[in-house]
Amino acid sequence: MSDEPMPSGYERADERLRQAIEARTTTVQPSVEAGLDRISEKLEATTRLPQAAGAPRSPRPQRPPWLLVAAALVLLVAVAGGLLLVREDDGARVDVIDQPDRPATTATTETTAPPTTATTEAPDSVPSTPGPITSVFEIPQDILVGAVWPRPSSDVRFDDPVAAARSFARYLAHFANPVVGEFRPGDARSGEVPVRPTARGPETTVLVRQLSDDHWYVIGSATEDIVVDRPASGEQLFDSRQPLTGRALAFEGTVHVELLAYLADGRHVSLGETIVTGSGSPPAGPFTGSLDWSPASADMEPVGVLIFSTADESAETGGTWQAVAVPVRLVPDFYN
Amino acid sequence: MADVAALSSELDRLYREHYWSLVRLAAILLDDVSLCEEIVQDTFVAALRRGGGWDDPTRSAAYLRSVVLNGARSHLRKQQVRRRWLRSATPPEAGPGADRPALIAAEHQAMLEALRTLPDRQREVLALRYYLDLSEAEIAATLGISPGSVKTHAHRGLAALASRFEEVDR
Repeated sequence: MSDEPMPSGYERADERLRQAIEARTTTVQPSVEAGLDRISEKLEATTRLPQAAGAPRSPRPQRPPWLLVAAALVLLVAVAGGLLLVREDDGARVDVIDQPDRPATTATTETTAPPTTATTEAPDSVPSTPGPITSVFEIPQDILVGAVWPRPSSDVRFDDPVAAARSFARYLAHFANPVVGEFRPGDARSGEVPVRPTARGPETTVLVRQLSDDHWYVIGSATEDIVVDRPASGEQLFDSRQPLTGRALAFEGTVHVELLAYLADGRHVSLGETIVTGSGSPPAGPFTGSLDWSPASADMEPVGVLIFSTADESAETGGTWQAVAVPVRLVPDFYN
Repeated sequence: MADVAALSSELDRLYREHYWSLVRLAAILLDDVSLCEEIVQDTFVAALRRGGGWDDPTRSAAYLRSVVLNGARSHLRKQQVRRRWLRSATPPEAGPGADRPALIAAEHQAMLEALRTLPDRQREVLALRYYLDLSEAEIAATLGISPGSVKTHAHRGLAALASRFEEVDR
């Protein structure tokens, strides 16, 4: 497989490895039918709508398909009207939400939920419990399009930016034991929180902002070693192969990319994942790739977040080493 | 029997074609076979939710393998944290005798454990090469790397294993 000269013992290792793998695999006898049963169960569980689980809660009105379309249209109109995302200003991309000086990646996001009723202070929790559902028409625009974590439609809120960053790092970016630094204010209602996988690990800068309900939200994250060009923050992803470009410096150049979207109760689901390859040694090298994705269900909110992450290859923490969160809008076929 | 109607016919076919080989691929990298099955089942769930596009068998197989390797990699990292302290495990004693089958089994196990300590890419390239006999191009497509990188990772991985077992053989 290689033209390089073989070291002594190479051929023996080749033969030993082949025998070991053959011996191992012949002893593994999975049950095909049981596997199919389990897949069906999991499929049913993952596509079940949020009302299926949990304690009694506010009755959720059945939304007819035309309402979804109407909601999506309102969202798109809002974008066109400059309420959302990004606008061009002197040829440079400018963040809509009046971000102060900060790294390139910023926020925009989507969807449903109850900012007026949700005031739970959950310093380090994941919004797994479905809360009351609020129509997208009732949600303040800045929260609807600005919050990556927690989702507007969940019932988790943070009064502390550091707690919001810690929860994001642990539950969305999957740091094993994130070392969370002090809040670095940008303006009166926004700033950054440094997060590291270990005390001496590289910094992931988590961007936080106090939105109109006076709670703190994560609106994106950035690192020095992963710079994403496409998709840009707030870019529309259509139901096809999404180009991914940028520059990265990572172990063996490997960057994991996952597209997460939210169900109407604020829980996130994975719509697709892939790997792109930058550089394994300085400086950061360009990466290109593509991501196939498709909507999880018609109940999915029309926004999501792309997480570009590198793993802790030393296995020191067993989790994420660095992570970039890029908020995106999802435009699957049924919204067109 | 499960409600197979819930799965598309294409995915059902892929399942029948690939389920065993994917579980076994994961089992090269992980000890726990039930965990391997879990990873493969989750792979099929993700694939079904991802939708169609299975008209190219090469691409679909590469996608499934890629997701399984991702899942195995994630679990392996957690295992490695626990095993870091055990890496200097006693090597199997050499020499044929009445217990030769047991010694061979121990040697196979030692080889698999050594394989699992290699860097991700080296480990995955070797597993795909020696279990599925994939070509460099197929391995490259599965892992999203260049064929040249496949060569490099295979060579380095095998050289590392050879070096490790030369020490044991001495």
